[in-house]
Amino acid sequence: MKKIFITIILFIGLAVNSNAQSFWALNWDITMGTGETSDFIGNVNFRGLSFDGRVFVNDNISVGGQIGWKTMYEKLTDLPPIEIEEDGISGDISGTQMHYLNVFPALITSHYYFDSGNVKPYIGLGLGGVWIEQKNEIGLRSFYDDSYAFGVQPEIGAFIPIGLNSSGINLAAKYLFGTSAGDLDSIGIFTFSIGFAFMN
Amino acid sequence: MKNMKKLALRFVMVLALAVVFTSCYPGDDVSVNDLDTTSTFYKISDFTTPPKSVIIYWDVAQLKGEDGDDIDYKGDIDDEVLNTTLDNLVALYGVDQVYIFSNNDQVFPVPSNPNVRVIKRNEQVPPVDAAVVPSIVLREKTSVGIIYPPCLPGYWYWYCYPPVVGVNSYGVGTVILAMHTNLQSGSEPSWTAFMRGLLSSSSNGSRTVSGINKAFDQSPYLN
Repeated sequence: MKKIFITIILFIGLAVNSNAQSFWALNWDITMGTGETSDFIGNVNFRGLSFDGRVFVNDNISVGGQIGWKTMYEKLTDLPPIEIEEDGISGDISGTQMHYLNVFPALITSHYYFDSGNVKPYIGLGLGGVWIEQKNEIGLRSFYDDSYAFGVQPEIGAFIPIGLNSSGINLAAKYLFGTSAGDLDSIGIFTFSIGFAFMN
Repeated sequence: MKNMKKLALRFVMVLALAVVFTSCYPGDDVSVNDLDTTSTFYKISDFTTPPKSVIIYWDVAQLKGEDGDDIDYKGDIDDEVLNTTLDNLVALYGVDQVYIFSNNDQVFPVPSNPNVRVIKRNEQVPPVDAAVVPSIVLREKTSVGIIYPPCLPGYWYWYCYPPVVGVNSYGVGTVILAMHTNLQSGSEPSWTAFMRGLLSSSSNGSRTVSGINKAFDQSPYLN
């Protein structure tokens, strides 16, 4: 993950110093798990943040990077007991469970922009790494797992200028898929992003 | 250039707000009850032939640590602990196969099921397959680290608790039920249930009942 972050930072640095047209956005991410992720946390979560940096290679195509942090949480009651086994003795623990998921995607992205006047609709794809932390707290006991997975994220969105120095609103819908890794299952997270963006 | 500075400032402000917003750790609405847990541990080999009859020791012994952080227990929830356990045992094994052992001539609290036979200390204990021993731990604060409860003398045998597997701390209040299928002196329980998280509050009784019922619900191998 460190290498990817360094690559992205270098890439952003090069883009800032070049004269190429660029796109920057800071987004508030609203997330909802799908598939096995929704079995763990099934509600909509409003604590997410992502940062996009893109450089245009021609009028319609950009390449760039995206980093983000999605915090998901759900309190669950009446779940079946958690089965454990230690030293040849079996056990079951029941109680209110607090499920936490922290997801940190770091992706290389590419986007295609459609010609449609001022508003710029786009589609994109991100590939890279996803750091996943999963925690299940029951009483004062905590079951923790983390892993580094490969991630794919298709995206559809639009940049809507609001007329100030090419600044505008970025709207996007993304689906992040992270492969299963370590003891963790694969993840699927649908994200709706709304953010402040500008193009220069 | 001036506009760019304004834009950058606005960008930083939005970023700062977003970071503050995201950094709030969720879970602030966790109530004390949410920390209650019911844990059951068992040796499955002891239940290949489940018990058919059981006797319950009609007393809630207090287990104390060696650090002096215990709160004296005055029997506040004896009724809930003993009678809820009794009700579950009767449901599992039938009223004719459940016995109460009382060290006292006056049986207190009054058993919820009057048809269960009470054995007093001067009477012969009938042959049974298992014995259930209730106890409680009351601490001023949560103790991190394993507490090794002492062996306690019973009337007709003495019993010990094993190092507590899977429970590395006792909360301020923990009710323990231990079922022994080996009734030799010094035996370790085959099944131990920990109802953890009870506090000195008016809701202790209902939480105890709920915890004990849950312990039996999640232990289908007991019969």
